[in-house]
Amino acid sequence: MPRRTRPGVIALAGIAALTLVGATACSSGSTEDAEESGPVTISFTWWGNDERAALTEQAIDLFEEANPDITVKSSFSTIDAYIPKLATQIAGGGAPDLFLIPMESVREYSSKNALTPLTDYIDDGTIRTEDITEEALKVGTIDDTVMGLTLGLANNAMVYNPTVWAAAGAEAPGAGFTWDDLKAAGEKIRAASDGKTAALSDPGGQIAYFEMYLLQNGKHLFTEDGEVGFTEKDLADWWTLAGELREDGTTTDAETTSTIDQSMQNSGLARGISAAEFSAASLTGAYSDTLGAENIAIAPFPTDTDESGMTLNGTNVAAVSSKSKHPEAAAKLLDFIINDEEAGKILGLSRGIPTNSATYEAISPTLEGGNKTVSDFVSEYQDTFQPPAPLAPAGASTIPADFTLAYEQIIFGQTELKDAAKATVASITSAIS
Amino acid sequence: MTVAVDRPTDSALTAPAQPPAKAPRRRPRTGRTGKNGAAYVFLTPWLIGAALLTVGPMIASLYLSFTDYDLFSAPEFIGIANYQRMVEDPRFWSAVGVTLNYVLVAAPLKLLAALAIALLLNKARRGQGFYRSAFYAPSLLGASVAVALVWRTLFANDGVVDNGLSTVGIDGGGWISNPKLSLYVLVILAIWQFGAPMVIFLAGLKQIPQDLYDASAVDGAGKLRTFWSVTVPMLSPVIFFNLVLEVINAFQAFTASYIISGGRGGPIDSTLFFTLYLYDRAFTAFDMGYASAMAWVLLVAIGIVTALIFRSSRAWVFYSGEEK
Repeated sequence: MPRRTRPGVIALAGIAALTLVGATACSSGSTEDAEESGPVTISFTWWGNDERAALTEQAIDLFEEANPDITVKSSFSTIDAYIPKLATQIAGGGAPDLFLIPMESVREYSSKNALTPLTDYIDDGTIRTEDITEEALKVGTIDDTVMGLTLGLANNAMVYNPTVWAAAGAEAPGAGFTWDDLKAAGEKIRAASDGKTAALSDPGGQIAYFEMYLLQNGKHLFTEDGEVGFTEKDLADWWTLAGELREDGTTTDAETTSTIDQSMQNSGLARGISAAEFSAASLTGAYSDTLGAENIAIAPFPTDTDESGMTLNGTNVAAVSSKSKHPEAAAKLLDFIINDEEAGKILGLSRGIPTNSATYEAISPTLEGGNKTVSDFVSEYQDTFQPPAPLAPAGASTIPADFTLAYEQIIFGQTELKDAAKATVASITSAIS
Repeated sequence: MTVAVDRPTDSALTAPAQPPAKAPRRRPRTGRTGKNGAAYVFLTPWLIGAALLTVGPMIASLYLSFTDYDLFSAPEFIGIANYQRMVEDPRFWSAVGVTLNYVLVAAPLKLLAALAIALLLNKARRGQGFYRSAFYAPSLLGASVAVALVWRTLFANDGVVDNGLSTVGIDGGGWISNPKLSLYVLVILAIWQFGAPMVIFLAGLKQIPQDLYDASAVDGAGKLRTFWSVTVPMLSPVIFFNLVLEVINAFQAFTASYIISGGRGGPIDSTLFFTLYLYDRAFTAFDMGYASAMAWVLLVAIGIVTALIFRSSRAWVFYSGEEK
């Protein structure tokens, strides 16, 4: 006859089990700080590469010294990993206090109320804007409210390896360089490297360089009103040009192009597969650290028209989360990064030209290596820069990846160019409507 | 002759009388409910977890699949529009194709490898214990990010595999950037993890009674015949179990394809697994309603496939002890 357990024991055991569950649940959750003006911890995330991260960490350390009761938890990842991570964090309510937003998503996050407007912090002086240039302020302004501030202005340009170009006997790119000149250089560079190195990594699938092409032809990707600013023919022309460059070997072949993403470390130039790369000029410092400053130079884009296709655009928008528990501290950190002279010297041109004109003047004479190259380039070609493009309308976040996919389908022979151009224009139009 | 009728002793008489004397005082619970009650009380923590962490989210996801939800604003009910959009979405069908291709190739090949190695390891030989552990280890590590990164490097352009094949004259270039071969990188990764089903096959093999083998040897059956007529039928429940498990796992594969394709589904969606596309729609396109709809489609699909395998099992799975 089995022993009958007494009901009391069962009940006691049950209560004990439930209490254990409750206790563990509670204890793992409580790491919150008290909400007063005591020590405060804020989080700051950005995208970039290791060099940029090291510099940013130094600037953050300086900030923590100047503000002993603010601790900054920082983290970064490459741009490809950053975008979904940020979206998930914001959606899950765990957004970092201060974070960078990729340009195509700024309007989207703003319209979804993920950002705190910075007007109050500017008005009460937490964020000083006297030395920030007009264009820089405009970058993060949506409908006359400052929703964020860009940390640097940069232009896209052609970053190339002058050593490889000279060794192949190819004419170096510069003002007045046309697409045909690029093709001629491409032949020489292929020949000099036994067919292994292309003159340029294929830019056809990157929407930023399609925008460059549009600017060269007097058009825009998106108009001020948030409409599509180009036609199917424009896109077909761009992809046809890219196709010609690819077919005669000037640019990388399909398989190589698919291994190149937007990060510096996976670019064709950094890996030695290409002798040039269309890239943000703000990455010049990182390229120089990887390949050596004497092996990196910047040139304007090849162009067949009078326009250069280059603009000075914000490289990112730094914003404070609307759900931040310490927006004041986050605003202080933002102000420090942009306006503090020491921080400016440390960060240099790692995210583009500093938006604080006083900082830029102070550091210009001391620039060297890759940074000096960028600064000299900007001074030399400033007059050829076109006005910056307006912020992409909401819904534009998925467009860059879809654009690249459509191009990959063309270069791998899965879709016809005309069909792909038609479908892409349709999908872009529906994404932003 | 006098027959002495023994009457039971006093103690024997009185002993059975004691319980009935006690009984009316407290109604005993029948053994069953008493034990079950205790069981449920101890299960409560797990039941709460299952309800909150599994069933609850599943119901929420079912609701979300009928809404338009961009993670920031409240979900907006739109009926079956997500499901309709799915049917017309070319990338959805391409993801289905890639996943089916993967399941149909990777799962059977993995089981074949597991069975083959299990047969080899069944005979006692030197180092048997070592080999068993060595083959089992990949299945522990295989699903990790680190191994996927290593795999990516191995199969890259100018990687180990590319160089190795070049030395035997096959100049194919890296596998991961070739849309025709990129999926096979993932298939090979799956097959490499055959250790777990192999261990289960080994256990199954050991359960096959030796006298069956003796009998077939006496009948003069060759190795192949013995394998086909004795080993496979006796092993069929284990094969069935492994098949169901591997198919379900293959449908849900995510980590490897995410890492090896850099999160995008590989050159022109050639490694865009269903789960990867789901993740992309949910977290990059802010289309959580659509992603939830995809999740339920996956659930139903796996359910149907599993049910089909179960039905088919009547034809080929032989449980010893049954009358055929």
